[in-house]
Amino acid sequence: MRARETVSVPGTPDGVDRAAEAFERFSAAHALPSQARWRFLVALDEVVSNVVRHGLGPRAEPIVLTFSLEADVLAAEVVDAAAPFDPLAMPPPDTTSPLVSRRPGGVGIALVRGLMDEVRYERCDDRNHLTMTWRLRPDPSGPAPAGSSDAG
Amino acid sequence: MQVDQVRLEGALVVAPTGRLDSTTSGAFESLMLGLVSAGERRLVVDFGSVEYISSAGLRVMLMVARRLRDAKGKVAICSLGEPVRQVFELAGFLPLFAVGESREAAVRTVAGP
Repeated sequence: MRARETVSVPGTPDGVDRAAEAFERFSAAHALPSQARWRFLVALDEVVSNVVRHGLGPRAEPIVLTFSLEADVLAAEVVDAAAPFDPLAMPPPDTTSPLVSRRPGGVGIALVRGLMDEVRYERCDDRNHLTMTWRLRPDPSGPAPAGSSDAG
Repeated sequence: MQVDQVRLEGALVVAPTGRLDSTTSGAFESLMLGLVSAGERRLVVDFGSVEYISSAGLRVMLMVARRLRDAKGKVAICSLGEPVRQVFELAGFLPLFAVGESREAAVRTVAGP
């Protein structure tokens, strides 16, 4: 199974919602399992809202998203024209302080890393490229696909 | 987003519907902080109809928990579906909240002395 779709959304808060809509369309078109759908919707919300909020400033250039499905690997690439920024280079968030002192910064990217199998950042063509991938898991409650073996 | 509210045994159960992400969390924040400002001190957030939550939604929950603590109130959460639970876990947010096994259990947790 192979599919690839590229969509451009405005670099504004409205664009975050459009990104979700675009992924929902891709998800429905390829009957993605719910496990995959919610992971990517959360991850896209984190990444795209971060770009809009911290990166783009008043010019708000469009953000280009590419969704792809190759065999059982689902991927989403987010490309923006903001200044160089590698979200993966940020320090890990505070996940252990008690309520009164808990600092919420950095939780978004921690969610993306935790929900995805792989997250990659690259700077090229004057753009930030963030790619997230997740391998579709077989549905544990469904029948095994024909021809599967333990060696897989 | 639609948010149902029902009063049970002295607690106010708030049940948002749909997704709690950067698009919808602003309205949710206004609602919740409004409730606390209006004097609500025993709150339960029932996640049973929430499809998924992102860090924007978590930030609202953190704010609500802090406001209630400052006001000597209580908040509990319940009915977390798998997507919501996993996000709370990844963010290290589960220890910050009383988690009820059911709506009734959550109500008992906050309605108590």
